[in-house]
Amino acid sequence: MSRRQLILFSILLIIATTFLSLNERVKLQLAAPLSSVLLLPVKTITQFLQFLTVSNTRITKLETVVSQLQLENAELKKRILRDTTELKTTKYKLLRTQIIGRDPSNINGYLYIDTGQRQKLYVNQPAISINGLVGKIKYVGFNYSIVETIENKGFTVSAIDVNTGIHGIVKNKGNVIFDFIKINDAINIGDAVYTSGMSEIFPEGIFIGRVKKIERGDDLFFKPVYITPGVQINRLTHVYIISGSTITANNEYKEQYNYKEQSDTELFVPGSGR
Amino acid sequence: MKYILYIALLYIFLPFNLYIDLIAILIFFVAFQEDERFVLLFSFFAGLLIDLYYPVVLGFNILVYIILAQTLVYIKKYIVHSPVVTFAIFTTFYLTKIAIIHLVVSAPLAIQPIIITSIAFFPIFMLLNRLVYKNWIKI
Repeated sequence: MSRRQLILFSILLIIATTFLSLNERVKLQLAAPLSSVLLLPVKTITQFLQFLTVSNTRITKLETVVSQLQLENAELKKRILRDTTELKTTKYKLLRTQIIGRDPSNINGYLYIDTGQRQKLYVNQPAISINGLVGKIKYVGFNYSIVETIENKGFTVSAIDVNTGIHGIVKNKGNVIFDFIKINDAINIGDAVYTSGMSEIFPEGIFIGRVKKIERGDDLFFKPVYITPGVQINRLTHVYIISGSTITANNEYKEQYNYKEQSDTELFVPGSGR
Repeated sequence: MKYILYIALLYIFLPFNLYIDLIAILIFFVAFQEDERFVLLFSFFAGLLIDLYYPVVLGFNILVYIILAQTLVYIKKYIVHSPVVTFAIFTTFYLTKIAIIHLVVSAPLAIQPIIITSIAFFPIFMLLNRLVYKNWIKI
């Protein structure tokens, strides 16, 4: 062993022995700053690894939650599409009927339902779904009926824009149009259109659709206002037939409508789409 | 450059030292292959880090490692450098360290890490050789 090596060994030996001979309190006081400096890389890496482990655990948990929510969401979507939700009203009697067929030549224009004279249905009874107006009964057989839908060319219903109170007629002329709206009428895109009740057939307050497009046509007096119907006929599996409809105004609707006129807040009617 | 590598390895091995005594293997490797003064300083530093990371008795691991490393440095000139002898010396080195710690500090004797360390010695020794000297066996 060289002399230098011996000196170095002795110094390190003395330091180690000194550390050993210190009392616990001094050792702790000495160890704290030393470890904070010397063990910094290890602690940083350990903390980072712990963070990754914790994050990984959290990600796994969140993935599970997301999967559950996705399943739940899919189930709810399915329910909405199947239209299995029970539509309830205290004002009118609703008869839930199943769609059993469609007119092949006009697939969305006419629907065949599984109820007829036997269930005391009659022509012109309104048909609705959870998302709004579907149409009216055009023909009643013994055990089935045919419903003319809003998507049938020529379908007509009196309507009102609840945001502005403007009355008009919703017609299907290939597109669903809110007709007889004057050029100067301040109607807006997105406005909700409901049945106005000025009809022998449809009670007021049934959601029809929303204003999709407003054009400035050639007509000197009226402008064409296009509507997106609230109901997607091709997705329906059930409809509700309104019976006992005496065409009296829906008080709930009236109250809301009056409130609407005062406060300019959007009206609620079951299945108002947005 | 290789000294920095040793320090880096020391920090990497530190968290796993409870399960497999990689630092003992590293110190043995350094004592076997490197310059005498560096061996002492490295043993001191390694002992200090172990004492700080696994605080039992501050200074104890330093003392054990510098004495054992210095002993290794002293005897390595007189031994035949062959795998069997190297393994035998490591076993002696490692078991001495375990025995001292067990006797002085009354640390519980865990057989599993001792066996794992003994089994892992040669592969790690060869890996270190490969890493530092670019060949698998430099004995």
